[in-house]
Amino acid sequence: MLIVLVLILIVLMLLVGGDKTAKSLVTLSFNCFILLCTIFAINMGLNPLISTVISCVVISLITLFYQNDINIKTKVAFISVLIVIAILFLLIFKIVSMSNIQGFPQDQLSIQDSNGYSRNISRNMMYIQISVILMVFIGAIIDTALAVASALYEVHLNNPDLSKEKIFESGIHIGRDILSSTVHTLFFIYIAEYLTLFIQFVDDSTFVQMINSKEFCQEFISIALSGVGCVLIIPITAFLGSWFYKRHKIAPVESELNN
Amino acid sequence: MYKNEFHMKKTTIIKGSAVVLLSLLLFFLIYNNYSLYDSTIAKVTTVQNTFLDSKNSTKGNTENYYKQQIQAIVKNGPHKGQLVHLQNTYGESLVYDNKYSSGTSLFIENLTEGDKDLTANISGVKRDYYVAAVVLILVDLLIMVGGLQGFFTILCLSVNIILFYAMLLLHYNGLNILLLSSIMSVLFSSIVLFLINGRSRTTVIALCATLASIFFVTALSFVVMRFTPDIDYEFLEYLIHPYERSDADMLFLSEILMGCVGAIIDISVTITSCASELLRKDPFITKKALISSCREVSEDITGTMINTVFFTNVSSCIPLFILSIQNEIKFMTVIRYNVFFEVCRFLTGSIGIVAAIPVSILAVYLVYGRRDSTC
Repeated sequence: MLIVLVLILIVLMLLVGGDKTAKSLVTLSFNCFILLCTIFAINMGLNPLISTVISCVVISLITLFYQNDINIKTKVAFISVLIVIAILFLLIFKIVSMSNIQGFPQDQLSIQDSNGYSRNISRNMMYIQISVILMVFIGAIIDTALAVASALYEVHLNNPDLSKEKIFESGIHIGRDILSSTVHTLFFIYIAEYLTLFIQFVDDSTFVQMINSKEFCQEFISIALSGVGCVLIIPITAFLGSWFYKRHKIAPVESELNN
Repeated sequence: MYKNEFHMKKTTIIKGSAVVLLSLLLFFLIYNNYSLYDSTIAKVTTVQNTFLDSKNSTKGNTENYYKQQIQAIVKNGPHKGQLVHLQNTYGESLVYDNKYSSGTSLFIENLTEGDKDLTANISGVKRDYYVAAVVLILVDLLIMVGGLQGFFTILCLSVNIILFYAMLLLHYNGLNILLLSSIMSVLFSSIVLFLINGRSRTTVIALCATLASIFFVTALSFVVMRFTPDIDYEFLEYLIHPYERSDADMLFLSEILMGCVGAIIDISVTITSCASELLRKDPFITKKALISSCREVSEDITGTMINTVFFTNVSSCIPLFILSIQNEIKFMTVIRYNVFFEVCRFLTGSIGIVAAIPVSILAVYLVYGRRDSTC
């Protein structure tokens, strides 16, 4: 079934889209490959946090610079992504280490001691959980950052006389338009992923049990944090955008050169 | 004018600090809501870790096990305020175990009075205030950055969560899950579209395009499901056992349906508003120019959208991959069974994104084309 779906996706993308969509197919496979590399790196015993941060940077590099050319827009988006990762990293670290949401709920998996599998893997699941959360939101924040940065650039090009404050303001306005759709995209993916979990909770537990359970918290916290990342990146990109676009007076020429 | 701007800034700061203060207060209340719980809760004060032993796994890893001697203060119930002694063991990897540190609130059971002190067993961690914390951070940021639109987003999310809960209850009472989620997807998308984008013809077109694309993806998944080997539902997380194959099929189809709603709404809104804008500016725009402009816009967003869907769906499998590979389960086996559902949802979601593009363009064209011919 997977192979058939992959084929359908590729055919559809090539039919509907043009060069850029074909490029995004390449990006996607790269990202897939990097995710696999991260998994193998962690598996080999490298520190999960370091390997995840590195792969996050590589992912944003590829998604931004390969797919959308190197220009001031993607540079602004890239720096904002890095800043948001740095800020949220602390928050994620704090919340994950305090709330015990790492690993797996007691009897969810078939990989149990009683089935002859070992839990002694000497890989710190807490760090891996932090990696998961970072990975969950990297895609979404790149999306938002790029959207804000490029829309803001258009604003700057069309009204070169706007002051820094005005550009920042319009960046926030652009961000507001994207905000709700991004948050909803995340929300529906979350609902879909845990439909079975919620059905189970409605069947046999109370609200109190649900809200304190590891299963629920693990996913809820990661999705909510990724929402936080998406919102946080809007003012940061707007600010950086207003700063950089104003400083690079020759920006239009530069981007043309790169194209 | 300068004064006016200054005034605006001042009110924003006041509003912002009011929101932050209110959420801090709320968090504080939830943090201390011990009396609302029937089960006993204790807050850890001191922890002493002692090395227990180390075990070897099949792959030659050594894992150290530690024992925790925990002192905690009971926070509710008849023993409120008393000291209680708890014990916990954990392995370094924390795969199924928890490592507690001071400040953590724990649910405890079997409270027994010893000679001097109370002892009890740990039955769980109180996590509600972490959930509250992330929700409050999200809400605060949405209001502060998003302003009125952020507020509408929150409103919309809350309505959707209530609807989702109603759907779960109806399912519990025996209604078909696929039927329910089809109805819900119609409701969800109309709420999102009308609340966020307002009532206009563009919104109606976007709604039609969204529903058509969702239907297309679900139908396609159904067909593919039919003509490929049966899915092994043993590995669908949290599925209630025993189940019937047809039920599980329907459940999975509902998941696919739900998963693509958000992304498809996003795409169809972007394209329909772009196309309507173009048509409004130049009503006699050629079919070719319209389609190529829409394609141009869609190309800019599909790539990053698909990336978002990819990472959101697939990243949560990292721990499972690590645990499986460490247990010498083959990588392909994990993909074929455990992660199958996530990958599947990612693929159908992306198909939804890509399919929504021509569907939206078609919808715009049909509506505006027909209007032109009638007048």
